[in-house]
Amino acid sequence: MKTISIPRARQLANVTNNMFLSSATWDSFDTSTFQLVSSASTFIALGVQPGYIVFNPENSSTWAEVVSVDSETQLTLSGVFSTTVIGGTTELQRFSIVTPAEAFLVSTTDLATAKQWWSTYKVGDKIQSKGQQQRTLANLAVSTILDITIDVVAGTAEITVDKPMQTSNPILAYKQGDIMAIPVNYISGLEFYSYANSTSGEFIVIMYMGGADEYEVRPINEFLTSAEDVLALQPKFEAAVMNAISEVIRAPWPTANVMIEDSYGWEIDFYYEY
Amino acid sequence: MSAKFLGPFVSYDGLDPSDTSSFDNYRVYANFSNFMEIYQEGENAEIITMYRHLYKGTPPTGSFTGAYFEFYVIGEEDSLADSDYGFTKFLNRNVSNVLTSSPEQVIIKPEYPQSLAAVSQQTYCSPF
Repeated sequence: MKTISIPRARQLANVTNNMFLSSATWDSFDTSTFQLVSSASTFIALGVQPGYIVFNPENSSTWAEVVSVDSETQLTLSGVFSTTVIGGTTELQRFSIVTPAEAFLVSTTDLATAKQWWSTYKVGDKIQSKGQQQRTLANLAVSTILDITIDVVAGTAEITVDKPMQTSNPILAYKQGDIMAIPVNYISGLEFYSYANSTSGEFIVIMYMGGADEYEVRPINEFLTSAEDVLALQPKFEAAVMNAISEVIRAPWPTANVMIEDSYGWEIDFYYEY
Repeated sequence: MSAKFLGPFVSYDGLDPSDTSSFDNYRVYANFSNFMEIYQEGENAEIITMYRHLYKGTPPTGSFTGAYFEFYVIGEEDSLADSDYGFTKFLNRNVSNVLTSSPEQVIIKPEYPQSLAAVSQQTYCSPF
């Protein structure tokens, strides 16, 4: 049996919200002076301090620190942070702020959850935030677990990760080796469908297996807001799937599996003939 | 024979292919390993189905799988009866390309002869 696969996502329960400011929108962000203006914000009244972390909840692959709080509506940052989804072109004007102590932690104060995390996950497993608008697509805002600690007296657990995660929205975890697989030799055909209009768009692949059996593979958050993002992301999606198929079929062993590259944040649905 | 995929067959669902702001696109790859039959249904050669019988292993359900093709003839509501638009030859040619491809080739791009482009604005392939 030859298979292609994606990592299986599990949604973490009882995650503590670590956000200092879950979501705000900037009016302008100067990438040379690193000044961020958000007319609807009140940074001084809120208590934002230098050193706090600013990041895009849709894509935390890069982030910046607050250098100074210039006014209620203006911050100067240490550098740029991601302002689009990876591979996409639509500028996302959202940002989140988190304290440096909390920025790289995913934590719980529920003892049963803490024990479950401790017994299930280990260093090297992946954590992903669905993001503010839950538009985190494939491989965006995916972090790696650097450390995990449990305090059974306090009933808490903390997972340290390498990127800031917005924990006010669903957090997904990926355990190494835990995959969802599709048998390649039984695939009758693949239909990559993409759609967009002025306000929305999506892309998906349907893998027909014979009869009415089919797998549907898509980003968990499948709906986009712009045709540009569909055009930018769909070819990468298609290439990743077809590359995995080519690679596993060319493998010399009768049994082989290839994980689709950058498929964190994807899901597989199976529909079968009754 | 390992799985081999012929594609992509691209369909724009009747919309303007150059429109990048509003579209409905299908890009299909069909598995033509172990295929047994190219079947032309109807007298107008609009629909051609390829069956891929599964002799070995146990498919989830059904005894065969395949791909169903629709060709849209340029400038005509319906294709003319008893006209040979070259659709069957087009598919035979491409299946030959699949069968004669090297073992390293898993995905084979379809070959569209100019004669086909002259009569068909697009090919829609639906696997089943």
